[in-house]
Amino acid sequence: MNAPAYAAPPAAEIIDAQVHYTRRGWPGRTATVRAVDGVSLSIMPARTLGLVGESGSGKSTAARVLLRLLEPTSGRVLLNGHDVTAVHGRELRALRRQTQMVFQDPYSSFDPLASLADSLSEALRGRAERGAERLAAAAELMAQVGLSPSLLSRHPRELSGGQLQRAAIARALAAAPSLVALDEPVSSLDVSTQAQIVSLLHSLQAQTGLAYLFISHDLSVVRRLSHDVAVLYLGRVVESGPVSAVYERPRHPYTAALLSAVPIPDPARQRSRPRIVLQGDIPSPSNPPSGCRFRTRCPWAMPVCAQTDPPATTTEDGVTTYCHLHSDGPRLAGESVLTLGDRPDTTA
Amino acid sequence: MRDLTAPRAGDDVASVSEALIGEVPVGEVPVDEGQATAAFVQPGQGADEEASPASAGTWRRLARQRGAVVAAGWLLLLVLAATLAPWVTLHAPAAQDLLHSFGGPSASHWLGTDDLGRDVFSRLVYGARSSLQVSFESVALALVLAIPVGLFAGYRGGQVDNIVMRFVDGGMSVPPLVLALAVVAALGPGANNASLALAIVFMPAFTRLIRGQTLAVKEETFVEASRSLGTPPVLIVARRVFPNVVSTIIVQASLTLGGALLAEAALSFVGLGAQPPSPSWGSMLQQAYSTGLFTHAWSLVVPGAAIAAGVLAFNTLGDGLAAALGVGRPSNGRRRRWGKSRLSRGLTRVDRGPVTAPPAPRSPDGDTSRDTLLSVEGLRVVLDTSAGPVPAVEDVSLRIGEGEIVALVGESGSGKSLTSMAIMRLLASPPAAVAAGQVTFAGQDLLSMDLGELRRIRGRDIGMVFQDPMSSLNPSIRVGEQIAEAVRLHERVARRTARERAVQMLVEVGIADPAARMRCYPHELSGGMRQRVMIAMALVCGPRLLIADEPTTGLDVTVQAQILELLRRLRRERMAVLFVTHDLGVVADLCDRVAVMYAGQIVEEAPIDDLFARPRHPYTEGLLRASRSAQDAIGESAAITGSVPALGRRPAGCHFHPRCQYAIDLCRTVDPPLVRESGRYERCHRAAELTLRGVA
Amino acid sequence: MIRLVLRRLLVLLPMLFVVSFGVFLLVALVPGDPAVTLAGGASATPETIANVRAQLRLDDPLLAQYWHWLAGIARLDLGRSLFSGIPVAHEIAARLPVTLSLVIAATLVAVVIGVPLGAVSGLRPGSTADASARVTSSLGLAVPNFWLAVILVSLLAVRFQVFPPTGFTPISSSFTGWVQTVTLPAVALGLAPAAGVARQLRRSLAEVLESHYVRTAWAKGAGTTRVVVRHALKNAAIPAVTVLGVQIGFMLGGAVIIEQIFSIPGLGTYMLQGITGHDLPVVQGVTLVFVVFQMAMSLLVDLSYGYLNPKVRVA
Repeated sequence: MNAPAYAAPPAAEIIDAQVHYTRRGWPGRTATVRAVDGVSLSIMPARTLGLVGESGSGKSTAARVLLRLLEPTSGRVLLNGHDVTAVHGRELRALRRQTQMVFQDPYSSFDPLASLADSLSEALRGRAERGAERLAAAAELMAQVGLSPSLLSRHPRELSGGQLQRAAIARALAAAPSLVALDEPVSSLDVSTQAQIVSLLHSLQAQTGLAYLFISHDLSVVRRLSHDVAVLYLGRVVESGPVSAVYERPRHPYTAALLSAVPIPDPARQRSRPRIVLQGDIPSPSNPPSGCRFRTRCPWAMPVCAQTDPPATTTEDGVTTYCHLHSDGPRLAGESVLTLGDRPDTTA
Repeated sequence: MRDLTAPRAGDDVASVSEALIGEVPVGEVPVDEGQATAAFVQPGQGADEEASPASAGTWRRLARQRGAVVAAGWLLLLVLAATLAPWVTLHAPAAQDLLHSFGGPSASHWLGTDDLGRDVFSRLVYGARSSLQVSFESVALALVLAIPVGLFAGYRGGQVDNIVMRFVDGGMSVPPLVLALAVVAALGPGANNASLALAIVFMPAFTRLIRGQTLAVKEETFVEASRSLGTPPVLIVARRVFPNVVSTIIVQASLTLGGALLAEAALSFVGLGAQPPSPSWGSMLQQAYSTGLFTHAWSLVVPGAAIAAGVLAFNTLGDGLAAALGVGRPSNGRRRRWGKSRLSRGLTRVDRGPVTAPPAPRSPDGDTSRDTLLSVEGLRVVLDTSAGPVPAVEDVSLRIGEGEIVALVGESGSGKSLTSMAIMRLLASPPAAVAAGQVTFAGQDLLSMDLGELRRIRGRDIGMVFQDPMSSLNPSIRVGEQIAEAVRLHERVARRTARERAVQMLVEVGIADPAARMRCYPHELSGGMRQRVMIAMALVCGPRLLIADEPTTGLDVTVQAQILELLRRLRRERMAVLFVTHDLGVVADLCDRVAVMYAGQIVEEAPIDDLFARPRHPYTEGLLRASRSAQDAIGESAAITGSVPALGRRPAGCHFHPRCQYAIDLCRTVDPPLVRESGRYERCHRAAELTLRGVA
Repeated sequence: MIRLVLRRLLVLLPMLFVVSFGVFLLVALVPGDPAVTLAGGASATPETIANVRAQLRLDDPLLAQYWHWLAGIARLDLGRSLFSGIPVAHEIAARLPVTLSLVIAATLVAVVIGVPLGAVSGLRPGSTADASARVTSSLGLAVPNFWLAVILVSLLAVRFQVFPPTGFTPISSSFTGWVQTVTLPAVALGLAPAAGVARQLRRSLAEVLESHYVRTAWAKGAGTTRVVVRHALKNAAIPAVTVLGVQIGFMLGGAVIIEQIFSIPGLGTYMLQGITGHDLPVVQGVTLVFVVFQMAMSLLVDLSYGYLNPKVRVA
């Protein structure tokens, strides 16, 4: 699937966003946590950008910046081509409706005391004023996500996880957004329900031309729905590009490790797959490693990796990789890291 | 997170009840997060679900609490009597009759007379007026001030919140009654001043509570959803935050009223409350004390009992409201009924009824008859719910050979975890009980053992690893000690030796710098390391069987890969594993044989390659397709419609039939038997005739 | 651990500042002209009024008054009683040990009764022992301590004469005498806190026994005693300690009234004298001492958290 030539601007874009927190401690021990440290993302209408990374990679923070739910320390946010970084107050609240979010746990994303009708009509504020109109619109939305409108009178606890996640999607649609951020929308659901939600999201995009930002720690689920993917590690993008290119030829060692970490439900194939098992844990974002942030866990780390930030390498299939292996090292120049072999010789 | 304030975290919510009845509400106790939640049974697996708080069911739940109903009745009576005082009493409260001082109960003076011959009953009723009035006034005034301040400070946060909280802390650092006395000292005695003083006492605690609750609700995802819908802050606070805080306020108000009644009585006891001639319970007691202590001790009883009964009623009502409204229950998780749990919970009750002949064992099969290590036959686990006993695990049979890795796969609600826990008899009784079946481990019948016998097997012959390592490790014991404890429970070795063994085990599970890690507490380790510690603890005695219940769920994929690699390495040591999981990918990665569970039953069991290549149960086929379609490129559509039936709502016949595209009439009525064919088992009427698709 | 203490102290200092201002502001709450009211109202002579005005520096601006007062406190000078003229600090120094010994005795009562009661019911929720323990603690929380005191006096002192009805022997002059005189007030004061501790311990123990890590202990092959003693009690004690800390605040307030009933010459009786006599410096001084007392207690509670809960130590 190649991207058609759009005349329209991206549905949403963040440029060089940084989110830093100051964690106070004893005098002199104040630490700056760099949750997001210079991330740029852009999503075209009717397309899906997958955002992947481990917990602590900053993916949810980046999404909240994009949705203007969180003030970035620096950087810009653009919606449909307009710079909205400086919008505040009442205008900001109106603006937020253009982007919506579906959360991981459907139960906590609904007010336990409110009926679905109540939650949906809150979302319809500004679209339909009268109660009856709102109710009709809510019923229509329910049907759109495959739920019976008779469920409108129910409370969240009375629905199954799958049903409630559909309702969450309906609530997002109610605001008539141009972008919906999906924050691990299926990870709390059962396998059989996951598949249902994924295909619902897929058909909704086909109908409405929505743009999606799909956030997940699981690369395999992202593949089903995304056109492009960006891989985040410790607050930075390490690799991004069209899904098929990234998946078939992972150029960054971290991408390759993530891909190999998800076991596939096919014993014969799973046994024969190359495995890259990363050692240790993701370092603290308050004290990230110098140079390439992944170097402490990278099987192919070289001396240069500790010294300078890796430069971007872009190949003709549209993949951008930040890794010294493609510029200073063995000069993979866009080839998959897997060509380096399974157990690398790391002395360099 | 909020670790900087950790020492007193949880206090926010606790403060009011602390300040008044000196109690920390459950679920907000400053134990670590999650630890206090009862979850022997996994959520969704048998916990009786309770409706949302403040629904119509609240009244019903409140009505079910006899104590609270009686308390409410008593309080209502008090309020009525106090308001209608002139009509329910025969004498004016101040009317003296010095000829009949300290008179006993009579038709005219129901509770006798006091030192001045005044009617005790009418003084009691009129006294209720001032006592209750001060209580209600002070609590109402405190609430009127605290609700807006608390909501504002909590929702707004930042500097405003900081300033408010400094004042609150200051107010709460004065002993409550001392504060009231000091304020009265300045204002002068009297009922109105007492109300004001008590309101000043209660306000900081209320503010802190409301602010804390607001802060908690504000962090909820649904508030973020409202924010992203552009709902104005005022509306969010009014429509989303306040309703979710209000039940806590109601409960605390009720408990505070009890405290207010006590405090008012104390103030009037020392003559600073309601002033004569208007009576109050505290001043009545004071009078009886100063005049009747040596001669008429009986006169001390009535006013004191009135105070105690009033306070008891407010407290009981508060407790009842808390239970009915679900206040103090851990917010993220349904708590199961308290029930009559016994300490014997270390051992699941086995209640197989009149001894029946053991079910005919499944004939050993050529392929799987490696020396059987564990065999489960016809296991049935029943959960006691509010709707009566419900079968959760039905007729499960499973066999694990020496050194074999068997996966037990299923979605939530399938009963897979219950099965694995029942084998070790680790389910809490009640609600769980084993109602039928046999569990044989290395020739020993686990279900007929007592705790002493089973103890020798647990941890030594069978190790166990649980899903959530943070809550499964004891937060206040160093991890090294926890591992060494497992050694010392089973072997008579010196402390030192046990510790050395623990270090060695940490090396084996791939922990760098094990000596230093030994001294860590669980919270100082990362999730992956904690799970390694759990594994080390389970393996340190060299068990023959490891039961791993979703050991990688909730971990990052990269960490999951580490744990799976570790398990793959350990399997070489000829240890059998029962691997409980919902993830077919993990199964494909690690296991020899797979049993698929659905709605409490094993629906299919087969060697791993056979099952993935040629599933014989429609559910397995659907599951395979679903996990593939969730993973592979765009194309496949969802395989199974609907969702797993809730416990107690399992359909008749084949439990899967409503979701099965191949179902025929037979499936709707007759529970299919477990059929064996060439080393595989399946529970499907149409297994023989269907050709199902596996992975290519 | 030392860091924890320092951190706590650092938090307490500004709090003490806020509270001291609040205590000082009590003057502002006095209705009418404070000087007139405090000097005894309408019957006061112009001389005493002037005297009060001078002593409290009521003619100075409020902040200057506060500053003067605060400077006095820094020199441990809490002013003089408006009536007797005796320095408040002197009187407090003489009376503090009395109240301290009473509250410590009451705390002992709370622990000795509360802990076993809570443990018995927490270990076997639903049993008969639990049911009776719960009823007992509900009653314990509802019964006013001054009523309990009065009943105890009338039964054990007046009727059976086991204990003296009133009076107090300092611990320094005779230990047995102290025990005799302190028993009734300590029981009256300590019973409600005991009930509070018992209730909390029951709850947290029952909860901890259902926790995942207790399940892990069973799975390791631990026996009942080991599970309870090694794995459950310490964790269950944390909230119970919180409750005890809070209850000590209650006991301080309760001591005021209990001391009055038993004619114990402690801070409480002094405060009540101050209140009935409109002797504001006395009230302010005692209140401040009570606050410091309570803060010290909560510091102790925090430190015991540090012992019980390793998470706090590193926080």
